[in-house]
Amino acid sequence: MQNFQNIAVLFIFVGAVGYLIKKFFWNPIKDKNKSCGSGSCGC
Amino acid sequence: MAKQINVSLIGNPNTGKTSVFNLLTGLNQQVGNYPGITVERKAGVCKLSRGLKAHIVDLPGTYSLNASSLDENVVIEVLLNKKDKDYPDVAVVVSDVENIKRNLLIFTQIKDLDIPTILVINMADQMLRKGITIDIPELEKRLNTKIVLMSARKKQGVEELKKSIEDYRKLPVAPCLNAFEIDPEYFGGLQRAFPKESLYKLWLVITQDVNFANINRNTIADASQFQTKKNSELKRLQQKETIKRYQFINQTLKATQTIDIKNAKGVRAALDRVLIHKVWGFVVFLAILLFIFQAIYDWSSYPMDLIDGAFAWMSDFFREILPEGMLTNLLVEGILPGIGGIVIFIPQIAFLFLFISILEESGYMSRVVFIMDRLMRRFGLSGKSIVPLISGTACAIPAVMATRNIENWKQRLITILVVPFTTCSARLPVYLIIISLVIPTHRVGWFFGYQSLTLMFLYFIGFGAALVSAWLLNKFLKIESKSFFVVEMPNYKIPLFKNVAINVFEKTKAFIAGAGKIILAISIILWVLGSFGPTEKFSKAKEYVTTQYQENSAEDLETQIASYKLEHSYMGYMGKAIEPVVRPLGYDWKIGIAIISSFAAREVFVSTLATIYSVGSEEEETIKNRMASEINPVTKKPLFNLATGISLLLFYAFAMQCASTIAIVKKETNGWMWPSIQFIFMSGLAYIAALAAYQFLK
Repeated sequence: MQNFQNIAVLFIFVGAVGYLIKKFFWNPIKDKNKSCGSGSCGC
Repeated sequence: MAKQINVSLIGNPNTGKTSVFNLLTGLNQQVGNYPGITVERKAGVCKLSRGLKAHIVDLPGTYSLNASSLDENVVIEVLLNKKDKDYPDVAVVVSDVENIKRNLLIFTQIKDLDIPTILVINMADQMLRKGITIDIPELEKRLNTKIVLMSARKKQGVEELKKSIEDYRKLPVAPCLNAFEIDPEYFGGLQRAFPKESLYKLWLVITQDVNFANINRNTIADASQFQTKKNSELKRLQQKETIKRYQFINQTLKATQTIDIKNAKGVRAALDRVLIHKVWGFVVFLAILLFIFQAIYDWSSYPMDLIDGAFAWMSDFFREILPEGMLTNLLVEGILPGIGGIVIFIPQIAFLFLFISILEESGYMSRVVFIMDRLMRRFGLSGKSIVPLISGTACAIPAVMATRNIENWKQRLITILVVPFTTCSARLPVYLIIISLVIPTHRVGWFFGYQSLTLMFLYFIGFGAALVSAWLLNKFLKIESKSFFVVEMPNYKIPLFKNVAINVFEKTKAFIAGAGKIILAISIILWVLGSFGPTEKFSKAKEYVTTQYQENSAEDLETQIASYKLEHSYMGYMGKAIEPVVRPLGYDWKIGIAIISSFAAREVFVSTLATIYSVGSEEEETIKNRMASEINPVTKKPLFNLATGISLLLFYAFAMQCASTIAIVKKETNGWMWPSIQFIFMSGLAYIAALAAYQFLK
């Protein structure tokens, strides 16, 4: 049971770090063909 | 699958377009981008009969298709681009009953794009009171369309509108204005060059510089059969088009509408005499603000205590029922206090949004914009800057985006740079917890308390910092440009409960959802950093402490062990590393960690402290109690005293502690230069103000 809890915490920690990296440091390549204001282009 | 009808809701600002949208879609809405009044993209689904559904997009309010700002461009892009997923099968133009003439301008333009168009005349219940009569059948005949009389307030006419949307294929698409009438020679040439294209669409492609299908302004200019005109000549033709349209509209209304002014009631004029008065206008605004801030405190205290107690109870409950181990500790000491640290502020934030929403819905906010214009201009801002500055009280991100409707680049840039000074809802949790710790609860008179006055003062400090910075930027920025300001003064109306409720719900949800995931992730990371350490001092903390404090009671020893472990955890070492920088401001290493983690978002400050103080703590305690009982290791007095508190309040009033705002400023200014300058300036100012406050008050 202890081992299960330890592994779960490790996964949750890695997930949390990954989420923050994706949120603040990882920029997906934007589709330049999207026109302004269409869909979720956000310009 | 049933066919879905794409519907675009279009109209001038303040016609009740959003009320019609809410009435059609109810809670079946998706709000895109960021919450805010002027630039958000709202879409929703409306169920029609026979299993049909309408996908409704509430486009930004616009006066015409001659766009002068980026958000107005969105409307044109949707209407011209058939490949756009929002391209409408039918357009619904919403007009209010008092301003039909002005609203018909955009109606005729949309109709000329060969899009089936329904005209909704909203606030029709007020026709009698305003002395207005309209011959609807005759107006339908002249405009060649279907007209629906509605009162979104009284929920009248919605079924007729739904029926009209269902029957959109029966609507005639004949144009209101024959484009040849504007300039026969020019438009003749244009039509000969592109015989298969709609003439008015071609005209918009040329004048608005947008693309549709495979045609853009350049391909038109290159066409061998046709030569387009210079910009100044195109402007002249645009003016001619507007005049032609108004001639058509005037003739139409002359034959169909009568207004008997003697029957109209004059409440609006009486109210405006006070609310936009150059002195009384400000007095009333100040009184309203005072009331709002006091109410935020008085009305939210009970639900806040309830939430705080509930989270403390939950931590205790889960510790009781779950098996011992790291996962349980993470939940009880990391996740629950972290999330609780932000959920507790829902009542206050909801009340703030409730009041702002009521002021917007009632028509009062436009009066505030008007009286503020005089003030704004003295500081190099536009009257339009007040909209982002006011919406910045919710969140700086939509506020920065709302600057798109400022045509003048210099004023827009200045507004973008100063907007993050306005007190956003993310600052509210920080202010509220610090104020409750360091400001006494005494009252001035029977209603206003020191705490609410402090909160209001902080709002003024933020606004003042924005104005002074704008003035400085106006002096130093050498950009030449001119601008004008037109503000719509809508009628006063009693706010619709449904609109206010949806608005409060959406904005509160966005606040929680936007920061919630970040707070959860940071709480988890902080707990791990606080629960593990790199040296023996952490793993053998019990032995070290027991040897050192043998005479202490068992209870005291437990507290000392927890404190010793935290100090020698990874987080403790990180905090100690930054302590020399924050010590002059009166902060310890734990506050230093909270400031660093709140670079992601300001509200993380409170949840970080809640997590740090609960690591290793076995007791059931509320966040406020944990913070109040924290002792400064140097002075041996409560850590959160007046000097530290004011220093923290000033730091958060000025600091640019929001990664998302930096990102949006970078996007809006097309580079890192302006967000970097903004970040350095705001952080420097925050540090100096906090330092001065602490050194003066300690």
